[in-house]
Amino acid sequence: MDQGGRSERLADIGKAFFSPSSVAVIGASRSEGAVGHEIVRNLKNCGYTGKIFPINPKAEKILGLKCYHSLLDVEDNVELGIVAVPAEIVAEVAEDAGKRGVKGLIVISAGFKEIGIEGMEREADLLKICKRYNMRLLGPNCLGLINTYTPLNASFAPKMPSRGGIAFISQSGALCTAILDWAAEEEVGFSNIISLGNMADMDETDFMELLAEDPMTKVILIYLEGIKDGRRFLEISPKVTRKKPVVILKSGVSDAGARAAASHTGSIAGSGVAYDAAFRKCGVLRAKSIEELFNLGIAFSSQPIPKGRSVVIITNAGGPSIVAADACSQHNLKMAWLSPGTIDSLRQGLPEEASWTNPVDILGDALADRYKFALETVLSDRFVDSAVVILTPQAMTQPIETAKQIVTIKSKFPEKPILAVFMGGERVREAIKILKKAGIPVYPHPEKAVSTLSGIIEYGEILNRRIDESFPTFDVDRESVRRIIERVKRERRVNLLSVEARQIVQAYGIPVPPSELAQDVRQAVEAANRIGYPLAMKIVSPQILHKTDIGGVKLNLKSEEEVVKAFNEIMRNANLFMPEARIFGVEVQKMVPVGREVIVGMNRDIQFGPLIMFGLGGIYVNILKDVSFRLAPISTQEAYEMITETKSYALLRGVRGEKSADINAITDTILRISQLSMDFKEIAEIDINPLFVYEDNKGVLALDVKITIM
Amino acid sequence: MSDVPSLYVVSATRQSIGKTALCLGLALKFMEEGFNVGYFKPLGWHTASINEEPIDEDTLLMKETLNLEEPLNLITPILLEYHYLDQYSKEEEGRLLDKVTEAYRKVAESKDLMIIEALHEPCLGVSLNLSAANLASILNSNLLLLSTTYQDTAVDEILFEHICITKMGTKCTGVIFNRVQSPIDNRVRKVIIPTLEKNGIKVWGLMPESTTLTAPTVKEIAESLNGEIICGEKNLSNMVERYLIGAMTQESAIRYFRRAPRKAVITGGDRPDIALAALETDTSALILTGNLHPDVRVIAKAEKKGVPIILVPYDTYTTVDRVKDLTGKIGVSDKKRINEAKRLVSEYVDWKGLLRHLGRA
Repeated sequence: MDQGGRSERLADIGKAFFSPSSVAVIGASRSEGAVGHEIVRNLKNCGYTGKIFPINPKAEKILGLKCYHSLLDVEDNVELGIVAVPAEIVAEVAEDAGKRGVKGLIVISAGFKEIGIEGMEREADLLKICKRYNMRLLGPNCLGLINTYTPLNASFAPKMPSRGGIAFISQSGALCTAILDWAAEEEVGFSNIISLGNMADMDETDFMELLAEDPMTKVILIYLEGIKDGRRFLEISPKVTRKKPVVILKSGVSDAGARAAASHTGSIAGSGVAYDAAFRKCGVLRAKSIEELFNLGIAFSSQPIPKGRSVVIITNAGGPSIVAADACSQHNLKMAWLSPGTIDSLRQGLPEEASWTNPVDILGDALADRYKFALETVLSDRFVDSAVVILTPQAMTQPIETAKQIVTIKSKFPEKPILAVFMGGERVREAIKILKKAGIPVYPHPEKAVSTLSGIIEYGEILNRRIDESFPTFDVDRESVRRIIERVKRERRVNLLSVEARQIVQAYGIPVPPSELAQDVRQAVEAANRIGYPLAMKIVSPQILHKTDIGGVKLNLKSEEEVVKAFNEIMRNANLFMPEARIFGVEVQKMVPVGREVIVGMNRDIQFGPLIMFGLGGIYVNILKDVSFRLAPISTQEAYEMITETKSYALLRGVRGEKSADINAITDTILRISQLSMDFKEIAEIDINPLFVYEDNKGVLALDVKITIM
Repeated sequence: MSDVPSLYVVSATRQSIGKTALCLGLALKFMEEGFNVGYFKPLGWHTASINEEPIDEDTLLMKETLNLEEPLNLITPILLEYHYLDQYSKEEEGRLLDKVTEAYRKVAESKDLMIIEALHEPCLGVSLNLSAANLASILNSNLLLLSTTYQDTAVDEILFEHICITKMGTKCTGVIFNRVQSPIDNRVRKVIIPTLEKNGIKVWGLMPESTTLTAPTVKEIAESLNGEIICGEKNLSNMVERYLIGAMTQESAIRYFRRAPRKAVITGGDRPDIALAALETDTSALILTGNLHPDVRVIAKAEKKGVPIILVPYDTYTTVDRVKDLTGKIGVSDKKRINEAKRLVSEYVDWKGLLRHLGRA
């Protein structure tokens, strides 16, 4: 598909859903309170200027509009259809809509996937019809959508929010209603509100893609229970986040939440780390609460993206400013170092007791004009990227006048965000209203202001980050791997023998110590003499996972006699502790010098595909959990970041005169595992533990490799 | 006695190692080669009843599959009860041998080849003077030992039985190994077979483990648990090779479940997260315990993936305990397993050699 054709098609879909020239409401009703009635009324009352066609076989007129008995009776073109008929006849209606050339269909009706098998089949039928007519579908089982600029209220939500830059996409219809009600009171403006429902066809990624092109939308907020198509999300969302910020609240991340989500949506939550990795890869910001989601939405829709991390705090009280400084430090924001010129100006303009370094404390008796002076002065400083203004209502404080001053100053510094913290209740109420109306985000406590600011700053960094999209490919022996996997499949196994697993990583250029499988003592001795001493021997049995626990591992064997003794001992132990286990033999492996132990692994996430893991190895791995994750394919930069962001990196660099470990060889291993998991979709898991890392330029060795296929 | 060439198949070790499947496979293969093959099982267990007549289900399977004309009580003249030592009086016992030989004469009449199946090991029936070791010589047959091997002890078992059998004056044709797993087969070929052959025992075949034969189907599991099947009826013939308990978090569950293909996952009906994780992996059935009906969405997903859900009243431990030793049984119309039995014999047993040995090549 050529780029032009694709964007044209996108524009068509966008127009059909957000600014259609005509809308039909199928299942329009005369009775007040019925969904089919509310929709017609909302369309009529929202100021929509296109044509509205209510469809109802029994009615002649609804809310003063001419009613049609069937969609097929409408002579005009119908671009968008809103369906609110009982689930059993939705397919029939969709068929009519398809014949009529409808481009977009919103199915409000419930009674689909969410009710079980019957509904699931009904939903599949509906989707089939839509596909046949090339008609896109929102829902079923949704609230509908709202666009405030067209304007279009294609939902049964009575309240239309005021205009603004926030687009909100939600998998929960009820959350939409609640947010609409809250937005009215908080004077938060929206460009679009979209309730996704069952996502039979269009999902969060489709709407993200459409909203990326919507000039009125400054920020996209999404409430998500699960992503429908993880790989498509990975493909589309980076393009969106380069145009505008996307903030997602993903619920169902805890075990209890996952259970709740499972019974609520019937879909598996997917792993929390995979979501984190996906969002990071795509430049999507993740909100941890509904409050944080909307705080970020409000800030993004009203504030510019700052150039850097330097924050200045202006305050009329010491305590809150210290809390704010602490919060900055927690979020890795930099307390701006003011330039000497700025400090001079502040010293001249402020009372002697004031603090003219950051945080700038302009004292409890500060009136509005002192706030004005201080704020203007610090914002003029080129080392300041953003400002947090704290006001506590003290005896002489002028909250309203101060608010007005902040509003005026904002227009003078359009490239620097200003966030206000107006603490208190009654005395700051009116001032808060003024700030909100003028698009200055305002918070009751400093921590929220700082955490919101850190979100905006993070997005700025995402935009600036040079995206390294070169995924290095190595010259590997794919054919050998394919042969091994085919054999394992033919034998209907999923867990590879360690010999096979090692052959696979070796074929991908990851070094392994020489080893052989011996089925009897004679073979063990022969193998030992071929490989050379000293040796390690390990039991091989599909039933024995913890080899050491049953005495199935012998180390540092130096002679033929020791090999014979070890073989017999291992066999005896296995028979003693696990008499039912099937023993395939004993692995004879070259003993290698001990290196620093790390783990490199891959777990194929059901949503996002191969999730590559790096971490500290050895026996403390389960306690310290010092691990990092990225989704494949991985760039060299990402592989390097995976290593450097762990705490163990310091140990790998070497402490107290210790030489640095071979970081390049680890990076190389991570990249090769990434390539292996991209090349072979049937590999479900890879675990190299431990990977011995030697001193710089001396490479790595994969001691133990486990691979599971599916 | 009858001069129809015959093979008397007997277990060298424990009872359940696929004796019936081997008999069935041999008979079908020989029939395919154009021989008129008969089947005889002198001693059977009373495992079921038809019209209140006690029968041995294996006998029924053979009669139906091989289209045998003889009545069941002729193919298996003696049916043992659980307390079979109390079953016959002294006088009756004396006539049992006659009953067997008489029945065999009738069954073997006009046949080219006979397959005789023993009840377990060669010793069983000694108390009634009807052990396989004894009967084989009376029926002028050749004992064929069936063994399986994980360990070297299999060799000693076979050698000991061979000595006993030949001491009793009975002919022993040799051994077939069943359920031999790769890569253990290497050791069998390199060490075990040479040892047996050195002692004059011929090995006629190494049949690999076949889950088609051994793994129970979802239907068999549901029946043994008296479970209610709430969806996925189309796939009750799914094989179950392992049981896994789902009692962890969803995230760990997926990794755990991936490592076991063709499994049944046993979990509570109140764990939709576990059920859904299982459905993302190769799962043959979901067994939900505690009679807790699952969420409609779980049922919908299972239906879509074609995975049967079995609802059982027991707790998880009891459920596992009841199914863990369940193995597949070839049923009368079980085409899949019947064909598998024949395939295994065709591919892994030297049936041509056996025919030559019986003078029928």
